[in-house]
Amino acid sequence: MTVDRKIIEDCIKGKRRAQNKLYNRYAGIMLGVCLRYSKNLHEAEDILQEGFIKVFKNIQTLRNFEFVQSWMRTIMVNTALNHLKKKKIYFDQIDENYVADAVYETDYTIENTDPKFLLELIQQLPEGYRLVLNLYVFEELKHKEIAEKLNISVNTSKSQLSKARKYLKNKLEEFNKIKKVSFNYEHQV
Amino acid sequence: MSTRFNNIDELLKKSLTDYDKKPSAKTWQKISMRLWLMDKGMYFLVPVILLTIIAAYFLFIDVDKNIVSNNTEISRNIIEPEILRDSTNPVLTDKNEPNPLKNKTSIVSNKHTDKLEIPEKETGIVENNSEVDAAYTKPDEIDNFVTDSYKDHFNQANAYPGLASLSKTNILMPTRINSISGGYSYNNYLNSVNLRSTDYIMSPDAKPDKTSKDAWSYGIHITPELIFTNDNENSKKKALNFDLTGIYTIHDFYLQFGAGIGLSNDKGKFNINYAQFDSIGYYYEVTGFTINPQTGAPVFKTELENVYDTVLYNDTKTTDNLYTYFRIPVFAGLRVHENKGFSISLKAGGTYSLLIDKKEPGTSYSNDNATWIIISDETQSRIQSNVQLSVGIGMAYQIKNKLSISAEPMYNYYINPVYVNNLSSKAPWSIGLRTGILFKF
Repeated sequence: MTVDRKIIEDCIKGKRRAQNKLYNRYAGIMLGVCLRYSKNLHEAEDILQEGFIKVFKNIQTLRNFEFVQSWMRTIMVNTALNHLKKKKIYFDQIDENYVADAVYETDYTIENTDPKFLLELIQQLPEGYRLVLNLYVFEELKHKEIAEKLNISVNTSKSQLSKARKYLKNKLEEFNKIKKVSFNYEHQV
Repeated sequence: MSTRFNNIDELLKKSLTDYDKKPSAKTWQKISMRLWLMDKGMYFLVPVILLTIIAAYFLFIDVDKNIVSNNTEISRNIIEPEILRDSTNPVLTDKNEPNPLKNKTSIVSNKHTDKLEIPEKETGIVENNSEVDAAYTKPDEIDNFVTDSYKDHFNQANAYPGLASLSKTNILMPTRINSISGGYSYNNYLNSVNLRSTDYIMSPDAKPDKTSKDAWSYGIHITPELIFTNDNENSKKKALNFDLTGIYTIHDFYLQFGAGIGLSNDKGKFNINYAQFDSIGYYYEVTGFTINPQTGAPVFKTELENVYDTVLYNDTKTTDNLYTYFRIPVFAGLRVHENKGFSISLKAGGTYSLLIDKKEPGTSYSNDNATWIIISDETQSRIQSNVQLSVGIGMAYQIKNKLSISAEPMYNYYINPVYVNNLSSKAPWSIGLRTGILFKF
């Protein structure tokens, strides 16, 4: 019997010590998930708190103890979505027909960057951008699934993702001190 | 050799999938508390609430147990006045001789008796002196005098705050009253000091006066409030509170409990960043040249060319937000002055506020020339609950027996800053005028 299994079984019985052990084991990683969805640490901890309450409330439904981490992560993501649904998320719908643009070209490489810095950049994104980015990149959902989950159109989902990537790329360029300037001359005939 | 990623998605996935950050200690405390409440807390809260209600009942409502409902008189002892007369009083003579008893005074006291008795040995010639007689009431009038005297005493004690406690009179349970009155009469022939004592045991049917101050009253209050914060951009905020209160008065002290709604406005802030293809400058492009035939110098033909590039713009928009709080004010007060229906009291207490609703309208921005627009909501999040400590001066005027109006300037100090991320700034404070109508049933 693995340590996790014993802890989970005790959690099902409602033993506080076991719940504390489970929390200590996974709280750090789960907070990392919550931080990606939230604007700041305080909000992330609120989501974490709600998420763990749901974990302990529903832990008896966990069938396969080996997947406890991914199960908890799913709960955290759903909790974050519920939390953000209460707020008014502004989905920038400038161009409904805008699809993935040339920003996602692969003719450049990016240096390995401090995760803390990347997290700060993600937290600076508007909530709509951040939400779609997280669901696409980390949860690996398709645009159709994201659109259903967030009650937006597929094009909006693609647009939000594109804008999020563009924003991050611009910021990373500034960080790496790479500037791009282009000229467009108006010829007089 | 540092790792490089082919695209942003890959970078984010590799860097943040297993990102780990330890939460603060209080997070587990909150989780633990909520789990406890979910598991057993309700079974603990229910008896606590019941005990609180029962204690409140015995403490505040069940008073005056000693009042007996029988309307029977227990006993009544009256001492009748005595008039001392000198048997050698030459008053009835027509001679105005110097009164040998001019400086002689005596005090008569009689034992308790139900009947008017005048000891024979002390009886002198009873003179029909209407002025003297007027100072004393006859037996039949003594009852009214005593009752009136008692009532006057009762009302007098109640009219002036603090007097009741000073006189140590138990207003709620009056059972015995001693009334002592005296007079000095003088004429050419007689000096006397008369002492009259009345010992009257009150009828036990002393029901509490429903209009007395020791009772429940209720109030409806409206408080406009001006809140001062350390936010340089938005230092003053307005709030309007509506409360229903129950007030229990014990002599000059009172306790106020209430519940109500508070409305607070604030500014929402949105930061708008957008990029637009705009002119960043110009230059003259040489499109051709000719040779000046006279000087031989080249003459260049130029055209003005604008230079365009993506320019980043930033704009800020503000919105009007409205926040609704559920309030529970609790105050204690001490009445320090009262005169002719107008009273002043000092009060202090606190209010617990819970954010129950917020109206934060978003904003929009459109620009056909913009290549991208990012609108960031930079409105500061408010904390869910807050506690304010308050002090103030209460002024009330009694319009009718069961109806009063009040105005109470209050100073409130917020224990916590209003915003989530305002940990380093000072807590806000506010001033308000709590106006209300108070009534009794």
